[in-house]
Amino acid sequence: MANWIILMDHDDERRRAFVNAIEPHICPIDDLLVDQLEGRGWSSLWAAGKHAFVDARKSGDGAAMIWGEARDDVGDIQPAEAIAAGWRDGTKTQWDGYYAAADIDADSQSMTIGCDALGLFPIHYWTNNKDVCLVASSPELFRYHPAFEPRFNMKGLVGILLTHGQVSGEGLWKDVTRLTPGKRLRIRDFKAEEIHGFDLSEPAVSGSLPFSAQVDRLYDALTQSVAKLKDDNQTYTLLLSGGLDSRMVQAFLAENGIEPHAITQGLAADLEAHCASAVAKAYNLRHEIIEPDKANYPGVASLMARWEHVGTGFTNIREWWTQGELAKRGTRVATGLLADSLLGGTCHSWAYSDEDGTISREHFLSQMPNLGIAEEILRKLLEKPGHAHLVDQCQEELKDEFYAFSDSIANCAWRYDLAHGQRYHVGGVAWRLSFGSWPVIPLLDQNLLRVVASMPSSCMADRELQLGLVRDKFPDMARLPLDRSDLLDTYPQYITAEGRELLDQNLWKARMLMRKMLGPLQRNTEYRYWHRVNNFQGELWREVRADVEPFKRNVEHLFDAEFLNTLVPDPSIKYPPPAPWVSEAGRKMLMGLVYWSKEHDCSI
Amino acid sequence: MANWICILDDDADRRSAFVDRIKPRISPIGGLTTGFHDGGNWSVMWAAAGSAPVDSNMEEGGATFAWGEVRQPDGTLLDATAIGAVLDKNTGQQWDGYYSTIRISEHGKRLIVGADCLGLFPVYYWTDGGGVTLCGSSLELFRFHPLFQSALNWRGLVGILLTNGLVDGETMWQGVRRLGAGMRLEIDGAHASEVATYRLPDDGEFEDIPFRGHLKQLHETMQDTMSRHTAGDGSLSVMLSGGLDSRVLAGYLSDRGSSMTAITFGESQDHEMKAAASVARAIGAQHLASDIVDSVADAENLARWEHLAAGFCGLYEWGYHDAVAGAGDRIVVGHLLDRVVGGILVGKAYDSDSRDMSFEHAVSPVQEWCLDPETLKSMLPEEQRHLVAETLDFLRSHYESLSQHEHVRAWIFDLLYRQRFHVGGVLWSTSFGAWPVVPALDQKLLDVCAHFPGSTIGERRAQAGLVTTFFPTLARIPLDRNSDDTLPLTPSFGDFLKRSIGYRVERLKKTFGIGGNDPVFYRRIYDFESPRWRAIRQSTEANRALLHTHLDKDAVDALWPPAGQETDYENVIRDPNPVRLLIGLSIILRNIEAL
Repeated sequence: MANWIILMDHDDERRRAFVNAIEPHICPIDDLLVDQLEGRGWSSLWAAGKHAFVDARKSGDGAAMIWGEARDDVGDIQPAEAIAAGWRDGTKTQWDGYYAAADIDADSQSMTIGCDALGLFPIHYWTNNKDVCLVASSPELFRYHPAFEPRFNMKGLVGILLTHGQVSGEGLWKDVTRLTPGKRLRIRDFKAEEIHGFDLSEPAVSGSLPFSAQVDRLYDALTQSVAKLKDDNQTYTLLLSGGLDSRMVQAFLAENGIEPHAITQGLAADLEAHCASAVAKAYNLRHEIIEPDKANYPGVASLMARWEHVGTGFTNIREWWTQGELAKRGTRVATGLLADSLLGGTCHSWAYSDEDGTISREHFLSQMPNLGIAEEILRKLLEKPGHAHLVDQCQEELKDEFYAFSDSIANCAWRYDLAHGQRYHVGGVAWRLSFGSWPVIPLLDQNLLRVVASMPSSCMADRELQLGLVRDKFPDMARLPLDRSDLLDTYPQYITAEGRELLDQNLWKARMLMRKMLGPLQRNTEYRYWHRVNNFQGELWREVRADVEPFKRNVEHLFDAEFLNTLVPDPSIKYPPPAPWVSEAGRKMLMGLVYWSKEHDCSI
Repeated sequence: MANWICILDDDADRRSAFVDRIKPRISPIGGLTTGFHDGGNWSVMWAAAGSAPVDSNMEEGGATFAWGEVRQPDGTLLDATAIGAVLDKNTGQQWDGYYSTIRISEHGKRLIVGADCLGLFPVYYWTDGGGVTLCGSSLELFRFHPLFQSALNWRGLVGILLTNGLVDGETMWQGVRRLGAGMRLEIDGAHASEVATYRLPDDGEFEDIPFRGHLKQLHETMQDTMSRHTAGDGSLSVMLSGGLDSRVLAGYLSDRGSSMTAITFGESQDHEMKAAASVARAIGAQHLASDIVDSVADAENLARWEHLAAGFCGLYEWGYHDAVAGAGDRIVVGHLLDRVVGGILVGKAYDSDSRDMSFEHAVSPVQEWCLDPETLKSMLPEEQRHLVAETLDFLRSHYESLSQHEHVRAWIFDLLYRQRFHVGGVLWSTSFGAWPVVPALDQKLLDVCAHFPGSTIGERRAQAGLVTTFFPTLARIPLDRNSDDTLPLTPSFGDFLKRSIGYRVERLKKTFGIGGNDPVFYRRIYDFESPRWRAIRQSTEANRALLHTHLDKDAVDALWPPAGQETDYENVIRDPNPVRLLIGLSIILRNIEAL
């Protein structure tokens, strides 16, 4: 990846002083390549993974820069100049793939900055509307600029705690905004404006086609997308979980002759590894199961808090460790990130209720797995210090945003989920990984996005289309054991099961029963990696909690302190574990905030 | 069923002479109840099963007749008096259920004939243009009227040979039309016209909700439809094959299963029979296994009474009346559900190779049962060959005019062409045994199904979903697919084991040449080498020369294998069908000749 910052500042002395001040801090982790450019009134500085594609060159006093692989319709990687040219003459505003790019025009003292079609690549900006403007992949370094005064943004925090992501682009600092997905940032005369980038416009819903035709459409779109990103000069790793998304990506990689080095996190005895191994074996992949227990959890937690400001939640912190493991094994990492929500139709399912047979925002909100803190709990947490009204404010903004997406509620739910849940919680992973190997995300493809946008809910919901794709197009794969952590099952599932598969399932169940019976005798009774690694009461998180426990008082003034302590008690105190792990994401964000408070002032 | 005929003729002597001629011929099979009424210039005669719902109302200057169950939207049945009152208001009323009605008013000057919403109940009519009208459920008896000439209608014949049904109301005989689907016939003096009473919804709109939401809507509609259509007097039975359509019926009938008889045709070792027996047991119904009787008379009846309107495959249904009658007065049948709820042609209209939906793809499964256009052309006299292209053009333009939406086009086309005749035709002969209760003939159900996207209705996704979701027990019972694969919709480990062993046993049996009859019922009874078809081929061989007088000899002989010759069709159910059509045609020509 790349951690980059661009600064426009007329005061050359102040500008250089700032660059000097942040240079020692630009690398979130070791082993990155650092570089910089400067022109009249602007500077840029970045640290990128050694495998990252970076193209930055000056033309005159301006410059064009790109971090990552932006591909055109035939799959050619675009140099920064091509992006800048497309933006300037308006012929093309969006490319496929995971990237961020900037075009600086020194003559008009303006610049344009944009990123991938779903806004996964983080872009944060601040301007004093007068003579300084900062744009960066992380807001962290803004505080080194003398003109920037970091002021804690309570509403930003409330939005984050409520949704596990930023609401209306607001973060923990006032006046710093994260760019909206589908938009480009235009800075002119130190005024910031978000302009059109990519419109996930709705083509007519393709209601006539039978289900198998929709499967064909999805298959074609994914085939084209993967074919476009194939690059013989790269070595690929694949984050192979036991689930549906990564095996689907593997199937398309194989069709295009890419043989990735498969990496599964966890222990060989885990349900996920059991399922992933079957896939790796079927495709004859080199497969490694790596145990993140070895990660320095407090270390990665503090990296995450420092560089992401809790804006992407605080759950997938281990990817700050994973990226290093990937870097050792390949230059590109293929992932199935976002597939479940993008084409798994999970959001359609949430928006629909069997009870009244309708689709609505109310159903969506009540059934969507709440990654944030439940509204009533958050209100209680904020009531005493008088911040509860901020919840209402966020809800109002979110409601307007939801309905503005489309006339169709199903489409609103889909777009909303992409812009919120997925963009932060899942999409944030891409940035972390990019410091090691550059993420290759076949789903970041405009053609694919349009195809999926045109599909009726009745194909997509409940992952029917995605399951159908694997069943119809990769029948051998459909007979391999599958971990459906979305259903929270404890045994492998099969998309199409025959005798042998059903037998395997029964054997697994028997094995688990045995394990349960032997429970007290063994050290580890949780055989689901996801549950183990995300368990707030588990070993890993207890380590993190113990690490920041002394700093909890930094944030107590923001909340009802007593209630805060019941939510995130001293790790030495046990509390009954809540059921599904997602509900623990809220607690983790509070931990993230405490980490953040170690280095940042959160007084209001 | 009911075979009825109505004549309007001011010439009383001619009319009574005609009536006298057809009276002995009105019953297609033995044991039916007959009825006769006449008025100033009209006569109506019918033959129906004793248990059949027949009602009539005679009044001054007119009469109303109803054969079948005429249901209002709330499911209540209408009698002839009520039907007459509605029809007099001329409201273009369409009811649910399998029926036909006649309303005679204004002292025989006005006649209104209606049928079920998809026009499955056959209604044919002929007028001489001068006030004589013949109208009936079969055109067989028309030829006994002195004014009627049996002249072959090439256009109608081409439609039959191309689609296994009728195209644009044209029949085999000049001047005789079949009433269109969703139409009623109005005779006003000497003037005949068809007026629309029902149109299948064609707007293609749908609610953009998850599939399980559509399933829920469909389930609720099916529950409602089934309860409305099964309401009424008379003992109820269900025709249970081992397949998906009757599986759906079984699900919705399960709460009243114990009071019903389920009837299945075939032999005890048939996949179909075994599956059906399990289903009957699961719903607590008494199961009646009935073997079919091989008889050449079935072929004679089929040819005589239907004149190829439904092709020439519905044979055994002309021989099973006693068995059907023995099961109950009314019989619930799943006919057409595979298309109405299962949307089979919607899936077939899509071609994965070309990635598109089109008329060509939609029409090809219809044509697979028929003569291919080139063969047909070579068979026709030179001056009639243009009819092939014209008929295909008509079908295409009709297909394209059905809706803006490809899936709706395919869905309606399937119902109007293939299902209305090839499948729906069977109901008429069934009705001579017990009255068919046809849930597919329901405007509400049709409306709901027409408003699903192609991905929900097509490829039997919703239909299979009904069984797996709402009747999981039935989904675990083996399913007959007219093949050796009878895996249940929701298979268990044991089912796979059974199938795997079954395949091996079959292979061994074949290798050593042991084993009995083919356990696939339809394959057995459709096979040209079956005793039934061998006998039919034998008995019709003599008609071959008759066919040569109308069609090209070489082309006919190239297609129609001589009676003694062993055939080797890949798909023994479907592939011999063009020949069946020729055989049927030869029987009809022979009958005409004999007159």
